[in-house]
Amino acid sequence: MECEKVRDRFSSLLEGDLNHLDEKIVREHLGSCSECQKDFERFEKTVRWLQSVEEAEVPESFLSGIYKKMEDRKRSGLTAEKVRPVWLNYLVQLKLPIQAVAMVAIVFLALYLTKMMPFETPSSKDVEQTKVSEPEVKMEAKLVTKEEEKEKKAEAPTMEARRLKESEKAGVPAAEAGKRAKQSIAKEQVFLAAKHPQEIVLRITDREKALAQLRELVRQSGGEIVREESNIVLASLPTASFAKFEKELAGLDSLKKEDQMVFQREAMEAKGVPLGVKREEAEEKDKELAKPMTDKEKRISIRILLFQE
Amino acid sequence: MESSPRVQKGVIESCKAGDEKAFAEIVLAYQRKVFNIALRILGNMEEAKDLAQEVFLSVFQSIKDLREEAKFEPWLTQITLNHCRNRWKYLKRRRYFNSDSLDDPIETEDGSMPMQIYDLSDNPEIHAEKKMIRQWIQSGLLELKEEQRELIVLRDLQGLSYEEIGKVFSLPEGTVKSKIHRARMDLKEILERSSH
Repeated sequence: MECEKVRDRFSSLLEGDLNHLDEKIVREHLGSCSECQKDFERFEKTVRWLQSVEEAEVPESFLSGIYKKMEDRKRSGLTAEKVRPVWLNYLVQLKLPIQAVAMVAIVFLALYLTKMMPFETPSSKDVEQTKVSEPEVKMEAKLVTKEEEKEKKAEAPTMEARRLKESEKAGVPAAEAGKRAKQSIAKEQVFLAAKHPQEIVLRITDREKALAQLRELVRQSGGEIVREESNIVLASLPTASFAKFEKELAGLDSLKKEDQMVFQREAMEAKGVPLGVKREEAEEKDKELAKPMTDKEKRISIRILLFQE
Repeated sequence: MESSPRVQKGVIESCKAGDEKAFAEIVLAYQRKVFNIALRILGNMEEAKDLAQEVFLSVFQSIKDLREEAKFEPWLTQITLNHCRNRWKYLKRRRYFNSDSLDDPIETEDGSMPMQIYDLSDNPEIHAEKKMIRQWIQSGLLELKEEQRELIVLRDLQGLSYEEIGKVFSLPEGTVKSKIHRARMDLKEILERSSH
């Protein structure tokens, strides 16, 4: 028998697990191979030493130590449960890993944010805040809400025509330009729908005169009249020139009284920004006219409500 | 052959029902076994004491989940080994065992002396130093692989049968035998190496 096979049988030999024949072969090998014999002696000694290791006595107060630990656990467990909110206790009982809970929370947060973003419109509370106290203006505001949809529809073709003109100027092929224009118009419509249009109530004495002045003012501001009705004028203006337009519009008033102009700037009032501050900001925007702007920010729609004295 | 259980089935049933007296009886019956397994696997009295107490706390908490009372002993051994594995990892992370090497001199009551036990095996004075041999064996055990250490502790120090060990490790008896033989051979090599 080979040395390696003999060595594999050391444990069996020592424990008397080998059958008679195997034991005889192994013992014969050990008698003839001094290396294996030496190795077996060391092996035997190791096992004997292992088995001679006496058991250690259990330290004193072992059981009382267990009871003490039990008490400590109960106390700390109770404290932890008191500090923990009820729902967290429930989760702990369920043995949910904290990572899983965090993951679910993150997913819900992400879903909530992505769902909420497109519907980010001023709440009814905001709208109420912007309402002007005078009864006349309230009436006008009602009229405005009825006309809103129609006006939005009217805006679109005007924008489209302008974009087509621009693309023609730039030398873009007509079909491609039309396609791009449609895309950008769609974007703009979405933007305008999301953005609340500016509303200005203007008290006038002579309607025709006021309308003529208004048209001229819009033209000077680089904008255009989109629609004219009996008491509502819808204009489209470059955003940058809005502040200037607003000032000029105030000057149109024949009575020249401050309280005759009521500006509904819902976003402004909702945020609590003082009017003056907003105007200053708008003026600064005027200065930045030269800066490139995105299509979305380029124009603003203004609804001017004419109120005859 | 399986050793006879140290506690009656009824005691385990009472402990399952939350009877603290029955629990104390179980602790008294098995504390020596659990403590010594922990001591030989971890090589430290304080750690072994703390761990053995933790084992019994786990037993008290989870004994209601034990389906067969007859399997209490292998179940208890499994809990002990699991606790030992966790504690071993914890202590290793904190480099607890770094200073414990067989190449280091053994600290005895008479001062330190080099490890030359194999070569001086005929010296009766050295043989008399049971404590020293125990320490030497202990150091060798700590250098074995975790599973090998567990197998040797259960077989050669605790005297469990191959069948019982097979139940604890969920291994066939033949596999247990060959694994234990390999572990003994490795321990022999370790001790031999350290003696030169």
